[in-house]
Amino acid sequence: MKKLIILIAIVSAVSALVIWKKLNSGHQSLLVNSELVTEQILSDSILASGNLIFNTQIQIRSEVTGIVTQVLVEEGETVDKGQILMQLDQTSFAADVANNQAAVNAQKIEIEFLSAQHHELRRQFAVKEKLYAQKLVGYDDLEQFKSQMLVSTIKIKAAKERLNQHLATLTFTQDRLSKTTFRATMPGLIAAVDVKPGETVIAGTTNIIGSALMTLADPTTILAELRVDEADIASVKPGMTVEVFAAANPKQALNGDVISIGTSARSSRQGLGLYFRVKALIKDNQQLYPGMSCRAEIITAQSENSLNVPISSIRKEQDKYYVWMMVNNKASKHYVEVGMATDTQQQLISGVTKGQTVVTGPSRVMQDIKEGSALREKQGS
Amino acid sequence: MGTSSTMSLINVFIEPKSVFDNLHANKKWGLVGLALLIGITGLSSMMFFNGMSTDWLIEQQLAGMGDVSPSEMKNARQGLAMMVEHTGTMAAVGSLIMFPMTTALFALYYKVASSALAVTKPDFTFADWFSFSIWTQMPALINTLGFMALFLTAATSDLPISMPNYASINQLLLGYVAGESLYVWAESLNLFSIWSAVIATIGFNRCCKMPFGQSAFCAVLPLVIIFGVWFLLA
Repeated sequence: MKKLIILIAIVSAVSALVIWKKLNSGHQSLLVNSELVTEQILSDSILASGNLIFNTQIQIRSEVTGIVTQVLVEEGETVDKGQILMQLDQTSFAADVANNQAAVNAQKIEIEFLSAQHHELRRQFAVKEKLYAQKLVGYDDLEQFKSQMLVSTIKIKAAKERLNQHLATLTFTQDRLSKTTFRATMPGLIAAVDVKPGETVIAGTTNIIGSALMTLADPTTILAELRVDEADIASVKPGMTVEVFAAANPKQALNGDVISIGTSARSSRQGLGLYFRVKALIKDNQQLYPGMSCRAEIITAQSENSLNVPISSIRKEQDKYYVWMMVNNKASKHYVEVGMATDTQQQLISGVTKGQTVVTGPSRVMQDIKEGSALREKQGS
Repeated sequence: MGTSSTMSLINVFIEPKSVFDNLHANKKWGLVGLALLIGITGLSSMMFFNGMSTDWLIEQQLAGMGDVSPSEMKNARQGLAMMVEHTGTMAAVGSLIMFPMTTALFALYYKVASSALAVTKPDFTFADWFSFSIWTQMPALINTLGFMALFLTAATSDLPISMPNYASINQLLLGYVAGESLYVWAESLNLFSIWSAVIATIGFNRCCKMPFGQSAFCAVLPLVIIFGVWFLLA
């Protein structure tokens, strides 16, 4: 009897366990990730990388060949307009000027001499004319004098033209002398100094670029010169907002605007695809230096302050979109109207309110969710 | 001289002490019990897995992996697809190998435990301890029968592959999901393991004349060590 009771108890217990398991399997709660419906501005953006450059930048090169005697500024120094930056050896240039000045002076003396000679000839001609009137000299003598006077006049004219020639040469050599002194053409920052005293600088010619001496830049405005992939360039328009992150300070966003977009594609150095050069003017005043690497987000579209959810929570049923809400730990289907989307967030125009909880994953579990399914939030979601 | 009968296969559940009192005589029925364990477990595995669609079975096994990267998921899917049709057979063969092995290991442990702690050391050979071990594992047969009842009465053949562990502390109490650190641990510890420990306690008490407390200690010690270390490492 006792054995029978124990047997019945065992069978009942196991049966009860099996039945309980069958009943419970239909009500097992699903472990899901969830997030709240939030309100924020969504921005769709294009990523690009590039470098910082000065908006206005002058490369100072020499127009004359010579040896540097003085470099009066250093890299990073601020200069005023007209300030002397460097000096070449003026010896040969000054000698040229002196030579030409002497030639001018000599020519002036020559003109003086010829003028004095002409004056004497005029006096003698006046005497000759009186003597001719008194029939004391012949007609031939008088005409000979006239010719001499004419020749003297011509000589003076020629001397004057030679003077002009020497003056022009003098001006040329003076100009070359002035080019041995380099002055700042605008107030700004010396961004680079590529020459040292004692070095020879070469003047540029038709096919030869002259020596790069210094770079003078206006540091008040900096551009980000970005490389935008050809697949994204159609979305970029002048005036779009850009957030630039310099490599030196990757967490600080610098605001700027797109000011120009390149008209032709360029090939990247690695040979991987084509890019377009986009320039963005940075508005924020920060300690930035040209040449710095940067990455940027070009904001191509921006929504108003609106409700949005993680994009993983959006499901589609034929032509309609819906989300699973967690209401009292049970699943509730809400149809929604969607707006713009970024890589991670989806704007919702209607169907939800701020603060509601939507199920975001895992995707395998979301396939099993039905209306009223018991849900359990995953820890840390 | 002890008596042996087919009733020992029932008595192990309702009156275990009678089985252990006649352990020598019930040796052959112990082997029958082992054969039943292997046979019914293998049969249930084959029926359970062979009834499932391959896609469902692959998805279930992938879900059991927890959170993995898409490339790992893809590789796993490819690997599972190659073997999915033989899952039932492999499970059946597994039970054919695992049951004798675990029985032998437990037999060895029981022999050592009794040598160390028995009040009266029984005149048992290893074969006797092997038989002892079989009887302590018989609750697994009830577990399998309950599992068969569950899947044979299910509306669909595509069932969770965690169904065999319906009596585990995870599915009864804790509710961990695949991927959580204690999931496998909790799925492995079930009510029938505890029932086996109770039968082993009775066995030690009857065969080695140990007090119940000491018998329970010897019976539960393997569970405590295995699951305790596993818990700490999980």
